[in-house]
Amino acid sequence: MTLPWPPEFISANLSEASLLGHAMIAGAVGLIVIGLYAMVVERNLARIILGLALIGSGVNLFLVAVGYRADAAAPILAGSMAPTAMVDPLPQALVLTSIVIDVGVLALALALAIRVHEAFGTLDTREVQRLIAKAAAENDRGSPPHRPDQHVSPSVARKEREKRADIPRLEELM
Amino acid sequence: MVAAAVLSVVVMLAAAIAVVRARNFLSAVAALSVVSLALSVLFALLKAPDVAMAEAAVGAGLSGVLLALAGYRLKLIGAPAAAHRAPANSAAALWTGVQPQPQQRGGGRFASLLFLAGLAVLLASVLASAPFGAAPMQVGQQIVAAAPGEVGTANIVTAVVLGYRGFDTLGEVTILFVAATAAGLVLGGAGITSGTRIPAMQPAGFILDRASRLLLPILLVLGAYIVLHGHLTPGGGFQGGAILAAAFIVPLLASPSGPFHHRLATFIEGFAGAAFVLIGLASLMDGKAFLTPLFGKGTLGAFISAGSLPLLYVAIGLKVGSELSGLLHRMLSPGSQP
Repeated sequence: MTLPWPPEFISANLSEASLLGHAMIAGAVGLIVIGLYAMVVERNLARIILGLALIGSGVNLFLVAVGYRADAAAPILAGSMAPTAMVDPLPQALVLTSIVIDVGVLALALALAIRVHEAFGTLDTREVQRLIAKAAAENDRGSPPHRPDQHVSPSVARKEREKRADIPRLEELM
Repeated sequence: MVAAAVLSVVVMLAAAIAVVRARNFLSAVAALSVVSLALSVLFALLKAPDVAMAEAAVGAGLSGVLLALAGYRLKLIGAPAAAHRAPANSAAALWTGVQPQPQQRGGGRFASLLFLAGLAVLLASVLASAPFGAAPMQVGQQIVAAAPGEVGTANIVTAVVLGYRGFDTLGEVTILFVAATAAGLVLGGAGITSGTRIPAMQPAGFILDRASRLLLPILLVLGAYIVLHGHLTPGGGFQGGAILAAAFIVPLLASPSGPFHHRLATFIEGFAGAAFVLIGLASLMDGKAFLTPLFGKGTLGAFISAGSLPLLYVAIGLKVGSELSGLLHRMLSPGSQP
């Protein structure tokens, strides 16, 4: 008994190998795009790191798929068997090391995220950006009460800075 | 086979979407492990058993543990106090620290989705232009033809990793070392500066505790077997090293206050790295190029064959094992390591 799937107009165009190829490429592209979505849209550092891991997996899948050969054996000799056609071992060796490196990168990114969380108490990238800008502004002004709602024109700010004696002016330095 | 591949791809992509959309961090990590498992099935279907083993051991196993431990320290997991503070109706309640998301402007979201859809079409058309099923490179076929006679390994991926591209592998081990050192450096002072206390982990129950101790010798034997047979069967230093690391980490997960000799792990790591380089230098003494296999190639398929390649894989196995277990332990115990 033959299964009704795939329909004849599809099976006529797609050999088994090319169907496999399409599935692999769909998987690789899907992982890369979903991971990129997480990195572009999300603001939470933890989710951004998860997206990075997904992108790495997608690239690994593509690299191994490139080395695949239809009707070939895995690149391992068994017993005294004569070497037949084998899939390309080179991408496999590269991906083998890439998987281990991915873990190292993941650990480093997580360590940095932990430090960010300890320093700022949040993982939200915009919130961290705002806190950094605030800290920088306070450093700049010698920490007067910072009021972001009050707009100060550049000329007024310069005059104010010139009034302060602790900042040497350019002419004094020369 | 095609049906299995299509099914795995569907499961993998569904899990990947779950990673991005999951409501709490632990489910996202679990979904990422599902992605890795489906990926290792795909690697096996693509006739890459070495890569499938590495993905299953490292991707589905250790990186899940790594993420879960980091989530614990980020108070994304198991911190009821933090979850309490967040508004209960917010979907991001467990992703602490994220402000209740102000509704993102429709235009911005639409633009990023459009960009990603365009990128997907672009990537798919570029990747699909690589011929599938007919390996495009000549060098791979030449290696397959020459490796059994030149290097003498039954596993040709091992011949590439340690023989033909041994120098690359040295660089790769160095990258792993640098990443692990940097992570340790960044984490070193963590928990001290801000005065935040990581809540002590609950001790595991009797069954989990004993079972994890029972697993230790079994995992050690399995890891050592995989490392030592790297030149004959699928597997090798990377996969076996990950299993060796798991052997030491599983008991620690059951009882986090258990003993772990950081100094010993660091010593093994340095010793293994030095051994790799010294074996490479020994072939210079012999008048050959750096990292050329020594001692002749022996009979193909015998346990003692392929010259110095098994020694190199033992060095890699020890190095990867000690590095990953040290890394996980550092995630587990805040501020214990200078």
